Amino acid sequence: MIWLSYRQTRLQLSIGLVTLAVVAAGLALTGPHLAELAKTEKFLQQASDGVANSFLYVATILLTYGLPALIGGFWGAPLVAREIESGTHRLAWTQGVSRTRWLAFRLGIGATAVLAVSGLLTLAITWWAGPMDKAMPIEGPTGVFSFYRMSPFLFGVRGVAPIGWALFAFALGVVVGMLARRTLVALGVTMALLVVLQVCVPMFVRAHLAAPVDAVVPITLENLRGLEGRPDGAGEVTLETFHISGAGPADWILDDETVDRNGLIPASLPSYVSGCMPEPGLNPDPASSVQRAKQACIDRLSAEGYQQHIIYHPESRFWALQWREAGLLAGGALLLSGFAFWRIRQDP
Amino acid sequence: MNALQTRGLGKRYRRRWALSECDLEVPAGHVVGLVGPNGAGKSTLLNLAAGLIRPTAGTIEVLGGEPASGAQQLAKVGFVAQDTPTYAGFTVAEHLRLGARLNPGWDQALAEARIAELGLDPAQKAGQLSGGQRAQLALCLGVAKRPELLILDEPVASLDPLARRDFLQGLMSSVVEHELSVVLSSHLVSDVERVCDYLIVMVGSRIRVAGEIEDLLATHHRLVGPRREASRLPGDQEVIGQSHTDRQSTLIVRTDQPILDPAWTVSKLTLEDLVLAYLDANRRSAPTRPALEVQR
Repeated sequence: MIWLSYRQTRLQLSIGLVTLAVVAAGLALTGPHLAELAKTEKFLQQASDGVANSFLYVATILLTYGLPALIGGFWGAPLVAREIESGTHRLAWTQGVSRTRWLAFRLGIGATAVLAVSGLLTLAITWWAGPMDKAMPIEGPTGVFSFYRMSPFLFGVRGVAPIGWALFAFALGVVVGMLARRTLVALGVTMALLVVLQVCVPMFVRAHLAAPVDAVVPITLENLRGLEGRPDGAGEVTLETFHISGAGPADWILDDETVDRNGLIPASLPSYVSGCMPEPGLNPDPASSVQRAKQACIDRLSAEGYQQHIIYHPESRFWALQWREAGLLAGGALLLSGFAFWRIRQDP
Repeated sequence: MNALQTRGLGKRYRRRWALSECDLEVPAGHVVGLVGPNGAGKSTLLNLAAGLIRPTAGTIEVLGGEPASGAQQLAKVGFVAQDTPTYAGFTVAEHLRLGARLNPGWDQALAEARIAELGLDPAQKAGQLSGGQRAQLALCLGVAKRPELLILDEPVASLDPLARRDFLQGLMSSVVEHELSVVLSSHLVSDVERVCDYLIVMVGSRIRVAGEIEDLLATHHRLVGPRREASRLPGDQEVIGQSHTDRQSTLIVRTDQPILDPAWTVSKLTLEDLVLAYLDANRRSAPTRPALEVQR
């Protein structure tokens, strides 16, 4: 059974390994230099000047996002669907090996290969992109490097989450293939489901994987970043809420709203608050009259009880959240496998 | 021990019963021919016996065990499925390897000898083989597994007459050599006549008759005589088929007793006549059914 499972996974495995080798070669050629460069000033600026770096940075993100769909569609979906479609299940399942055992080997060896390919790929990419991801909170968005690793966009293509996604995609493909019984249909459905999940998980699930930090902090001239309003229909703007950098720039902010002395979100802010906004530009002189007026505005705001309510996942939770997402997806893969073992015992 | 034993066996696909009320008791050691028109339920019965599908009603035992109930049961039963599926991307040698890896009783020497005898190139992909060669490869996998019972579902349906003969000859030589029990289905009586000693006729999802061919031929008679209604025959004579002209009746009856009425001219049936009589009887009783196809 080991030989048969390997024989039937051989094509996908070789394509996976070739892809892995090409990517790894690209990363190995540029990675050590980036690590050196990271010790210098204005690292991100220098890194983004290299076309190869920018290209690899974007390409590896796209590849990692595409990986679940590719694995689910081309590796998971045909595993049973192809057998049923071509009738070879009647050959395979009437040899001296029970169907359950057949599935156990096909799933086990497939999952091991998926684990190896996706694991090596994401570890290589995470290592390579490490200097950039680390420099982001210090140097700020520069060139193509415009996302923090905690941001919903980048989180899913770093660390161990992609391994969870790959395993889940594989199991999903197998189950969809069992139900659809046709390779092409299974491939399409699997890919579509995965894309939907890849949108939904960051939007609705990830934030709940751990209890976020929930804090009410004073608004200061230093942490104030913006003011949000809404046209009231009469040509005026109703000022609704401030935005502050109460959390670090690299934290994942889930909620950021101004509350009044009762802790409630006010329908509108007093009109004077537009005068509190700091001037653009760095390090204004705190002694200047403009700055003193703004400080007075902020003081009035605090005196009236306005504070900022922020909910966020700090950057330090990156790995905890990574493992939880990977664990959740691996758990999903196990559940799907359980269903597959039940389904294989039914009529094909 | 019975090769195949069923009680009230039935299989339903959604609303349609593909097989119903099937009672069979086929002793081991026979080469059983399962004949009937397309859609009669032959494949359903054989897939149930191979354990690929599970019954909706009743029970089935193959060589005393529940089909596909474990590795041991699977090892005892060889199955060559309809259209003789093989892995198109595997070479002939890889198919043998598959057989060797998956079957505890695999006979590699036998498999290799058969492949050599057939003149198949072990390095050739199964997808490039002709229909006949593919069927032979599938048969080879089934035989080299060294099962006690070999089930073949329409193994020769897609083969030309020459390949058909070769295939059946190959099958018969294995039967003799390895004391196999065989159940094979076909919609052609001629295939069955050539190799089988036990016959099961299926029509419209039911078993119409089953028994050793010798017995069946000895107990079925064609009676020709002056016109007479079938209901006026003795009670031990079961009328399978009848046709009447103004003055003459032709009946096909089944009876263990000798036919004593001197008004009848009694003659033997060929196997094909016998099968046709059962198929025909069904057509008369169910006029809406599409015309049955029996070729020779």
